Amino acid sequence: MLAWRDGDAAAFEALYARHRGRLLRYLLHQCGRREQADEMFQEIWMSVIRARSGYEVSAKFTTWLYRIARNRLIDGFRARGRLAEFEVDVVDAEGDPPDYPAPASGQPERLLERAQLAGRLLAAVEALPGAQREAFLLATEGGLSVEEIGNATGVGFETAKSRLRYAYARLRSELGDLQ
Amino acid sequence: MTRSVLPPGSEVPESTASELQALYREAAQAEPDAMLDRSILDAARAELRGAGETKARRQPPWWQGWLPAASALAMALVGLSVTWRVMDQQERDLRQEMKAAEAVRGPSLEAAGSVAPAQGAADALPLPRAPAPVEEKSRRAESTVVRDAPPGAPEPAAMPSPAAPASMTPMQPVIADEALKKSGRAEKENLRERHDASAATGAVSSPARQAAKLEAGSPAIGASGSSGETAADSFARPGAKAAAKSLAVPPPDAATPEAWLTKIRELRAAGRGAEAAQSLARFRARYPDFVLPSDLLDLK
Repeated sequence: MLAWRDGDAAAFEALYARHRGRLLRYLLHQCGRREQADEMFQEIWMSVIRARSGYEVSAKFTTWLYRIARNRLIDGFRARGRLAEFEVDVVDAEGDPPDYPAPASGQPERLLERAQLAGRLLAAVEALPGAQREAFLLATEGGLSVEEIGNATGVGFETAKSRLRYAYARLRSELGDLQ
Repeated sequence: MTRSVLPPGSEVPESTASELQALYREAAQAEPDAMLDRSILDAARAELRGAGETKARRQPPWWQGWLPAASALAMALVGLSVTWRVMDQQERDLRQEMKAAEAVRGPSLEAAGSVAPAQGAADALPLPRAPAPVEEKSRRAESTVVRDAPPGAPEPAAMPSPAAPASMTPMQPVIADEALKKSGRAEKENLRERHDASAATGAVSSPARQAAKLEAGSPAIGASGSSGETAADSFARPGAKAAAKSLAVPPPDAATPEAWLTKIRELRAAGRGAEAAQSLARFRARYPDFVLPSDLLDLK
């Protein structure tokens, strides 16, 4: 990012190639619609381009990129009236994850019927509560650590850790035949 | 070292978490389409181009940095050119003045029939170059005399400098005039006699050479005041100018006119009529105003 800020066009191309797929998938699995994901994807990268001249190293680029993406997602959820869904934080840092109903469209059983195990997983990811899904996607697609997830999402280390832990627990319970 | 996919304290086994991630990556294959990629990359390039253009707009043209240096160089060139032109013009003016001075003084020098006044004229000129040719000329003439002079002849170098008369006051030439006339005539007649003798032996020298000899003889005459002698000759015998021009000042064949005429008579008596006639011609050129004796009138 620093090289591109200094005028190296090839640096941006390398940066884009490294993050394009992961970012899109993060968006796609967060919002569930390809068109919305594409739109947000383009807007996020435009934000990155516009921020070139004023870019300062304050965090890892990936953390910075996913923070932009998250903000854009929140804007999208807010625009569609689904902000509560995104902001639901169903676990506290110390407690056990509560039982919560899965979305009707995202029933793991349906997904398993029409797809293979991978499909079941994706469905399970989509069925995750927003904060857990976000933590899972940031860790899986963005490759962020717990601390970085906390930085990207604006929560403390323990909260980020709990979200991620519960996300894995939920996915495993949904995909019981993995073990 | 592989990074743990699970946060510390997770109840999910590490292997299960890794398997979940691997399975997710296999399932999640969505990629941005090519059009989206192109639009984003184009936007990035446009951003760089725009920034470059903005930067270029902010920066002054490259040649503006060289403007002061180029101005100084141009001024220096103009100054040099003007200086050179002024110096050239001055030199040209100086040459023209020199030529004009030479043109004005030239006829009077020729009228004087001597080199010494030229030296005087050159001294009168403000230019330092003027005396050089005269000195060169007299030096050449001296060397000619030394070459042509008989073994017993006196060395011209032993004579006083010809520049000495030039420093005389205007009265001095008048005083020295008579002495110059006498010594000069004696010298000329002596030379003429020698020339006649050499002509008699077949060693006839060309008029130019004779003139050179006579010129070389001038400083010798000038030893006792050549400029005074020449001036006196030019005033006393105006016909000498024409004779000097036509015969290039023939050398004297005897020290005195009477001695020269005696020699002519001897040549005629010896049957060398042609040589006697030539010597008489030189005599007449040398002394055009001399009244010839009647016995020599038919020798023409």
